[in-house]
Amino acid sequence: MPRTYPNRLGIKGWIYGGHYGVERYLYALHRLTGLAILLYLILHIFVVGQRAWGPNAWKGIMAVVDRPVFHFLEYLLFIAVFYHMLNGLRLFFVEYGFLIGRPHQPIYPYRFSIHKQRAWAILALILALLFAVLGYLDFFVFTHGG
Amino acid sequence: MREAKLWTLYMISGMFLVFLLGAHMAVMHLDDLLRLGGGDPLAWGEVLQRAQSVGYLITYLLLLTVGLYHGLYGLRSILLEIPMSLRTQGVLTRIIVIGGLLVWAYGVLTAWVAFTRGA
Repeated sequence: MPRTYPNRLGIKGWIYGGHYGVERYLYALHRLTGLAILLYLILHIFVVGQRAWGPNAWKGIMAVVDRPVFHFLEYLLFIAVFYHMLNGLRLFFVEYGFLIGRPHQPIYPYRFSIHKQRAWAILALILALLFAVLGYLDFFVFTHGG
Repeated sequence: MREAKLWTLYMISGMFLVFLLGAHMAVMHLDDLLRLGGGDPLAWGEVLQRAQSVGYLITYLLLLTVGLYHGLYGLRSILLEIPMSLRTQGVLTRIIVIGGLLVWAYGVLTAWVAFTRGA
């Protein structure tokens, strides 16, 4: 029977990055955005499912969600999706050993994989910011009929 | 070994979602910038057109399945970090699986009903 080991950090460990650096906080944000997207997905399935019950049901649910507060929350979700996607891509490649360079002998001056993969983390953040700007334009500037 | 397979499937589902969800986001939220044409994607006519398209039906079912698996496995991974007994871990896993299957079934049902509407 597999043995479980006690988690010394508990729930605080989800947020506190300790000495692990900025990537730990990116990971915490990755988890937060993931949970937000999952919650939205479940609600989304029920909202979009109304299309199965005819135009009146669809228009009824659209009347509920067609409000500025929901549009703003939808925009935040849009940013969350692209951040989660881009950071997830970075995590995927790092997990399988890409983007971290070849192993080196620990001879001074030491070279760490963090120096290679941090550039990709910054690139992911820049791309996420770019999508945030594009999303802002589509959500609030180039609106349908506007 | 089972957890390793589930984890690998989790990583693969994430890669699928990059393309599936990226396309979905482009169609629904970047249509003006990308000049995809058509009217408001949330207008009933547009919604019905997509709902009755075989391509969109397959895409939506894939997105539903892959998205739910990826999200719920991630949720399970986070929750299993809370110290708990093996029995509780099993109960938690079953709750997530059953809840996920129910939501998935509802999604498939509504997608199919919308597809066959007017047929």
